[in-house]
Amino acid sequence: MTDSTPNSETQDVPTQVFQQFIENLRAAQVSDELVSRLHKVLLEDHLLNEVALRAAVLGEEFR
Amino acid sequence: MIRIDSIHIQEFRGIRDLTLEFGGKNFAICGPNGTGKSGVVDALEFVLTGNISRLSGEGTGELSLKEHGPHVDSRSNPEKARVTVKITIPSLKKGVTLERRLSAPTKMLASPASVEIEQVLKYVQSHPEIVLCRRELIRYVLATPGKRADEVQALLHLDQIEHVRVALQKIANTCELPIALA
Repeated sequence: MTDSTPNSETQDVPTQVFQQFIENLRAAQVSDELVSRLHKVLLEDHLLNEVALRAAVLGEEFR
Repeated sequence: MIRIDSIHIQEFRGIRDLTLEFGGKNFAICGPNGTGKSGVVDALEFVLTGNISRLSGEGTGELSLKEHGPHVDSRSNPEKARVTVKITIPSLKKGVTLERRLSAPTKMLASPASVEIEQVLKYVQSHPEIVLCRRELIRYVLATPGKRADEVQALLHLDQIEHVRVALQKIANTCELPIALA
């Protein structure tokens, strides 16, 4: 998986924090599926609301 | 992010024609009241964002960019009112010339133009904190510590992080299912 905004000098602080968060999850060996969903919500779709995050963490069936 | 090498201001606010060479370094502008210090700051904000927040913020009444942006002698000819800056984008190792006219404030001319340069300029435009006027600085200084933290967070878009933190904490508090580990 690659980030859509690779240049750190063009990223704002939240994006950098969320990227680091994703990297830390990967390093902690959290499941790839969960990391992918969170990556999509936080860094691709920029959906920062509880509903979207709940679905990302727990899966679509918990929407 | 970007370094400003020079700025050329024409018929803008109280300035008829002024060129300043910054050389990409930090700079300070000082002078007596009414000599155009704020006009330079306004010009910088205008060319980078297309807006002059001092004309559109709280307590500005009927002021408008179109009518009050040009020099008073050029209000009938806003085409003459323009700001040009030469910047360096260190991450791209490129110099770029930007120009914006008060007759078309939403249109910024960039030379050379590329997708990478456009990405950097969009980032700059989306960050109003690039130009803080005295009124805004005083507001932060006088704010209570709690309020000041909130305002700085909002300024830097850090409130997004807090929203996510709170949401994840609520999910953790209400969730009895363990997060699957690989």
